[in-house]
Amino acid sequence: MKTQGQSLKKKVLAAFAILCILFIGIQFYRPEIPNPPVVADFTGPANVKAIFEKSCYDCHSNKTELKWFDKVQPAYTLVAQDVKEGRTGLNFSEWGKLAPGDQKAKLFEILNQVTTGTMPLPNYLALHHSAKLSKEDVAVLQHYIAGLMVEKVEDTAMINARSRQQAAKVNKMTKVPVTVTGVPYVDGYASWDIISTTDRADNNTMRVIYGNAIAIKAIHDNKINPWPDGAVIAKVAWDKIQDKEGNSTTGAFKQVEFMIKDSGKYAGTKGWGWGRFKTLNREPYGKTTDYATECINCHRPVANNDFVFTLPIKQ
Amino acid sequence: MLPNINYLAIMTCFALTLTACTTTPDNHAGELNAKASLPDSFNFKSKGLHVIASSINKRENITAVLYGNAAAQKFAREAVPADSVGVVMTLVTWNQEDDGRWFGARIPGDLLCAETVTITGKSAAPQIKFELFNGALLTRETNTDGIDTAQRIKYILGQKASILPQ
Repeated sequence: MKTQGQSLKKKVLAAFAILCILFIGIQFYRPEIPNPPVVADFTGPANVKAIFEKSCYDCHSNKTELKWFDKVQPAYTLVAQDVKEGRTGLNFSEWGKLAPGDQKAKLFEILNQVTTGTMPLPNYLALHHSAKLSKEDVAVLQHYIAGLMVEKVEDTAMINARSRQQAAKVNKMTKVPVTVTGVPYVDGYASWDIISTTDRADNNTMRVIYGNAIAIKAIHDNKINPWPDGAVIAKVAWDKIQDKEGNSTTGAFKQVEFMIKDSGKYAGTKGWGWGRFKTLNREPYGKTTDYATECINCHRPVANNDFVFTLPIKQ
Repeated sequence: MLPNINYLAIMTCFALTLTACTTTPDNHAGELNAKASLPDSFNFKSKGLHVIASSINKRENITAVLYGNAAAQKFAREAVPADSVGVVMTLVTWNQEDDGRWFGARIPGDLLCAETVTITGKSAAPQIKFELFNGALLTRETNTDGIDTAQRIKYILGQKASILPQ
């Protein structure tokens, strides 16, 4: 027994020694986390900026400040990846490069990510307690971002855009447009049943969300988390044209967005093919495959709902 | 065995630390919008109508969707409609409420009513029938005395189809 015990002890010590050597060795692997110059930093109110600096800038700016424990491998590799991905999705140091409309859309996305607990990343918060947003912080963001909702009443540009589209010739589809990742435009959605509508005060649009037969059946069977393969959701957005009495109707067609469920084919993008086609010419959105990451990131607050925002209405 | 138990304990503590601060608000995952849903008894799907347009009335805090048959689709697309005979339209109206999943959005809440306009007869003398179905159960209103039906018919028939690529 004694010999066996000693042998086990030796083995444990040897394993521990190997782990120590590996641990030390891995420290020499240092993926670079550069802090490039800040070219166009976020320019909102000081109290709002302070919250972003405290809670977001480590991964979403060129001012990454690592704690000592962030620099220890293997955590360091994860941190480097988070920073790289974070800056790709949103970089406050390049905020000024975004068009004003995109800045506003981004702020609403940020708020919705924060209030749903999607961001800051839970594993980041577990070790960086100071980055946690307090209730007061959230209220500051809500107040600022709610103030960006400017209602347009009898907007001439929108009325003219609608007239131009009404006068436009019928634009028959000769070839099915596809996105850069190969997600196709799905024709015929206008004759599908609808799942819901939304009134988007954040960007003055009205939306109708359609579902194909498989999606509608899934709603009737109450099996929508996850949605079945073959389900397609189409969300159409129009300008929201409001008159002085507060009545709004749909204006110019802006875009249609598709979520096409195929858990095998689209396994790399959460089981969905993501497509957005803008204007009556059905122009695919996204110059690089990164656009799908943009879709997924925005839908992350509803990751527990198979990445679908819409609360379906049964008809 | 002991090292395994220790390992489990450490991993459990670590997992608890990670999840302790991350209570996600309930976003009703997997649920339907029950209060906005149409009752099965209304049998809306069997009518075979498609969406023509959607609208919002901010003062009354309501949102509506206009559905119609093929004749209604054509009628609502034409600048000056040629013929109304054969048109079947249904306007479904809901209260609006804040979208719990997106700050800045509003979605249908309680189902309020459905109004149908059916036009039969001949072009020279069309027969227009108006029906109102009220409440969550869309109960048919037998007494429409208090309603300006002519105004409602005019409003429903006056809606234009939303623009779509075609």
